[in-house]
Amino acid sequence: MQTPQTSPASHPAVVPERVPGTVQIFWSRFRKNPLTMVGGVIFILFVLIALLAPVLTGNDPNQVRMDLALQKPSAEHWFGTDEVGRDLFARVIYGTRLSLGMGISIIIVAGLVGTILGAVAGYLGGKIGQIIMRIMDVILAFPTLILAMALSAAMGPSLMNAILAIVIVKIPAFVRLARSETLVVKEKLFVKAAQTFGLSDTWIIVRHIIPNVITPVIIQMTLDLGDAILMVATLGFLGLGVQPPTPEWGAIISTGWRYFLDQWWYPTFPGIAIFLVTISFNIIGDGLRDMLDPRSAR
Amino acid sequence: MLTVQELEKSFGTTKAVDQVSFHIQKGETYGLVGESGSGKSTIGNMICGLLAPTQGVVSFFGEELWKNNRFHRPKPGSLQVVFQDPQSSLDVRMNIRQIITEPLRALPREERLKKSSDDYLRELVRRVGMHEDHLTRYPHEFSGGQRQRIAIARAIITEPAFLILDEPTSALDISIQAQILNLLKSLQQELGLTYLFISHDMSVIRYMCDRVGVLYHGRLIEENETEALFTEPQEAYSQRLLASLPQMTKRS
Repeated sequence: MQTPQTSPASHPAVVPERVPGTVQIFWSRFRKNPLTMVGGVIFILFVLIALLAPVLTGNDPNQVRMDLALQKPSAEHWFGTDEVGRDLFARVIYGTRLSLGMGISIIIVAGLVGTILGAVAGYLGGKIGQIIMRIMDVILAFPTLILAMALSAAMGPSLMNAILAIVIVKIPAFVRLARSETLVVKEKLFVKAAQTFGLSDTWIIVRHIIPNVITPVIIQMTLDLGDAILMVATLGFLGLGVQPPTPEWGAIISTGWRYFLDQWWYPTFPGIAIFLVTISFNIIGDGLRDMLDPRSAR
Repeated sequence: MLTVQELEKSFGTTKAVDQVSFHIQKGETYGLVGESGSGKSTIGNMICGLLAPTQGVVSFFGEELWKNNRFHRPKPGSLQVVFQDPQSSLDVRMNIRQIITEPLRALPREERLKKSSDDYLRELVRRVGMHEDHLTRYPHEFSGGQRQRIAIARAIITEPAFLILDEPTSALDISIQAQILNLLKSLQQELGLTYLFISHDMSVIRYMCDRVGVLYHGRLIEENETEALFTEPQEAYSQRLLASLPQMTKRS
């Protein structure tokens, strides 16, 4: 509401009305977008599964029972059993923890590091900016999956190295995004104003640049989360990531695909899990972009 | 207080500011007037450290501000700027208290603590015509005029000696303009401020300024006391600028 002010300098001005908070606007838009709701529901379901894994299944995902090897899905073993008689339902459920945890930590680290590097490169420019962007160009010169495989193979296959390798290949996209947004924000008058106060570059980057470039970065993070989980699974499948017997979806499929023709359930259920998680993040990411980005408003 | 000598700024082959010299006395309002692209904001940016001059000297209290393309900042907070567009000059991610107290970050600790106290801020926001309840709100909750009041509060919180007002009312409605101009005038009297007032609007310049410099294509083509300039413009361009004021032509 733009009430014309008639009060002289000494009197309190017109008190503006409270406008609806960002959260309320966000929620009302979220509800109007049924597809995003579906994605959100699937995601929440997976988070619940990850959190409640021990409640959902009484079986130990690593319990070997040779006498129960390669059983069909049944009331006891919903997803059947694998070649050493481990309960696949338990393995997929516990795998949810691992995949979601790895995916989310990868994206948070890559998004954070990428935003900081991009903001520094964009705001300072010059030599530092050039160095940062050229390093990113080198990483971008390789296909992401191939580079992640090479890095992970070079560092030795393990859970931490797989995370690190995927973080490294994921960073450049965030750097580029954050940098291009920074180039816009740094021309805003509030940044100029902060410069005239004599404030440090660090202060300006932390208090002005990063808060104002973070929205598109967060959207990119949700879009990339599905991809990160897929890469974790891919590395696991290729034997370059999480090592057996850890119940990781990619690793389960890696041993399970040989049994596909006779024991279809073995690789199928972890596959469905990967598919659902990945697609739910893509849907959420698209929805968030539509909601938060005025340029793609319909 | 502020002296500009043979100031020049080139962008490529074009000279945005060409051999400009002027002097601003303590307590006066010096106006820079000219059309878009005449170089008036460029001069303001060179004085406040945003833009390095190609040549020339800017000195503040006798100290050169630019040496070898490096800005030597005067005492933090002694020279502040109010920008044209209050939509863009306030960070929407900060609340009003954070916005107003931001310049204090550059001050010594003791001064910073004193000036960020509740009592000091209450006095400050009242002085610019806002209310202390507004301190916890965000810029999008305010109108353009109110935002400019916030920007003014941010500029004077450090108790500056000198204020650059870069088209402070150009983005505002005509009725709000007068309020902001009056606020600036009363602040000048209460706090003993010196202003550099940059504008393209002749009527605003006449209302605010003691002396005026007319810029044309980066050159200072005429400088005079405001009334003398308005009654007897010497240069043809100044006459044309004055003719752009309908009420002026009627009166004369």
